[in-house]
Amino acid sequence: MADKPKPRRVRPAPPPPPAKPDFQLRRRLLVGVLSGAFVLLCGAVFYRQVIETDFLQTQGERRYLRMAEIPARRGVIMDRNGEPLAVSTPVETVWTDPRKLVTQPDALPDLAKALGLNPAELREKINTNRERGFLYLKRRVSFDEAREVRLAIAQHKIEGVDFETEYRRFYPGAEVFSHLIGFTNIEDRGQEGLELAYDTQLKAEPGLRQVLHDGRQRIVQEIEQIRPPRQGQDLVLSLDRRLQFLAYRELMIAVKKNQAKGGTVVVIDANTSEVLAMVNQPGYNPNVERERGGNGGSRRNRALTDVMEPGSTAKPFVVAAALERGLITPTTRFNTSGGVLKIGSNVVRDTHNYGNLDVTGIITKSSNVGSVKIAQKMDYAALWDLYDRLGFGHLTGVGFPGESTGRLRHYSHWRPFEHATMSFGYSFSVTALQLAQAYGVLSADGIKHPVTLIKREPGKTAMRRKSVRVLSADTTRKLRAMMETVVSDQGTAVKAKIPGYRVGGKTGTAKKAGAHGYGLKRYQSVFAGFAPAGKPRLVMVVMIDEPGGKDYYGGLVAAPVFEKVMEGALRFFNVPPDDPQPSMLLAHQGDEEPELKKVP
Amino acid sequence: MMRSGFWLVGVLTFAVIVSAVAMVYIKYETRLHFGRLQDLRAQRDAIDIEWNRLRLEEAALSTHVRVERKARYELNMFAPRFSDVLFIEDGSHGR
Repeated sequence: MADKPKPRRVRPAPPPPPAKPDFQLRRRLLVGVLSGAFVLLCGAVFYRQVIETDFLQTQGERRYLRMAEIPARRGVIMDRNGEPLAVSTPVETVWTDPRKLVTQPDALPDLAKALGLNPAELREKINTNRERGFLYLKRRVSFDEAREVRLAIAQHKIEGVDFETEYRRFYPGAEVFSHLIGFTNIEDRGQEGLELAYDTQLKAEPGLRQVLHDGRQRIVQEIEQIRPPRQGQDLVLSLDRRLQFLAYRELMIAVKKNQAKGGTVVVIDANTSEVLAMVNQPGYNPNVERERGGNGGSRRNRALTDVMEPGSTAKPFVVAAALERGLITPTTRFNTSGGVLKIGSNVVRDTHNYGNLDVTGIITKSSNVGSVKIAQKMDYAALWDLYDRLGFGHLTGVGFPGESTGRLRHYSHWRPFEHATMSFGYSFSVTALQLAQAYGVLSADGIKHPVTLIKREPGKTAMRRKSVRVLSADTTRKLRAMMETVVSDQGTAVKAKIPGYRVGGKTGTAKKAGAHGYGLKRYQSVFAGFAPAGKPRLVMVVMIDEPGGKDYYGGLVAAPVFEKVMEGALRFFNVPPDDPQPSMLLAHQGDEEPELKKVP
Repeated sequence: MMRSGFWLVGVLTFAVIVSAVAMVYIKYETRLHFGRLQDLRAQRDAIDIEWNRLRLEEAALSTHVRVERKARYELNMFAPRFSDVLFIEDGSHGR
């Protein structure tokens, strides 16, 4: 500039004095910009702090607060001795974030292998769901599969595959208990049977809590429990697992042997009316998913949902009603000769001509004509009243879903022939449990205790209040003596004899009514009985549905099942023999050591 | 007058610092204990699961069918036959 050497010849025009910077303006500008920025800042702070605060706070919380579930387990169903019949066990479910997994195609084959899936299908599944953030890979994997998956994840450093805990219910009793217990669905809620009936008691509700977690997703603090978990309560049934297994096996053998369509066995405790065993054929395994859907026939709890005409097993009640009114004694004689009785235009027949029979004989031989003659000594109301009070035509109160009431028409609608058929167990229908309950009345000296599937605490007043007297103790004692003759060489059920015990019961062979009346040779063979007859402890009803073999009489088809199961039951419950044979007796004061038999 | 005010401020400042440090420490302790609680809960759940698994296993192993098969065919056992039963009458309760 000024000091630049220049030729001095031309005197240059003096340069204009440099413009003095306008500091004033600059300062104002600066202050203006700065205060503008400050206002902006204040505004932003105000906006974030006051207006946007809720949004930001929730966003922040989402990064460190989390809702966590507190797991809860569905109650266990146990038998009367505490053996588990239905248990929920946590199992793992593998889920994935397809958006992440789709970027790791190399790992897919191994992952598929670990899960037992087809690799091509898995790839397809991931690709079609690539937009989604959540996908179940496989629900309820087995213990081994879960380990394999963890290995595969570690090996390939797979991201976006994780586990979730779910509960799965196992039924160790499988088909032996399935009709009664039912099953739960994938959410562990009851669908059938007692699982459904007692769902409110059994069900678990997972709790919810709010927790604080750190950057590594570890929970570091529990803020609050939003909802406490509700653990499912356990349910103790009145069933006995050993007896149930035994009854199931014997029933299965009998159904197979007689080529029958199905069958039912019900055992109840004579003193408390607790159901000790209840089995049906055909059955299904609740642990196998596809058997649950199955044909409806195998899923039904026939002992409660299916009705049958009790046939001759109803005869003792006719006798009871007449005994109660003092119309007959066990030795009153009736003429059944000819084995035929005309009522209006209909005819009642016996299988043989029994001639002149006393009341005991009518029970022993199961004479239809005899029981009609006894019934004719009473009016309609008397018979109906007893049947009604025994519980026929009413729900038993066990609360089982789908339980049938059976059918008992009011006596005002009866016609004379109906009255007659009622006396040998036709024209009304009952469930196997109702029949067992009625035989329970005979066994419990005339008192009807409400039947139950839930274990009773001994001496509970609730039960005593609901128990009602239906028959006098004297009547039932006489009746039991008569029914013991059924299980004798003269009776219809020799095969129900149990050595060492006095057994009473009654056979029944009911023709099945089809769409076209009582056509064809379709029968239901029934045996209902109790033991020991002196002071009964157990009552059992056996029903075999449509035996296809040559035998169909209750005494030949159902009675052997009774004998096998009852013998085992008496042993399980340690019931002392009430009719010990002389060879069994061992005198207490015996002075010589008894020679123990050698086991071969 | 001035002096006591100075002291008061000093003491309070010190107290505030101590309480702040204590708070941090307690928080740290809480987290440690909570972590331990979490571990113990997980352990409890695992034990509970194991217990149920074992019950199931026991139930599966003790089914009537299995026990009977073992007893009958492997150990050659049988239910007492009628002829094997001896009934000991207790003479003491004579009525």
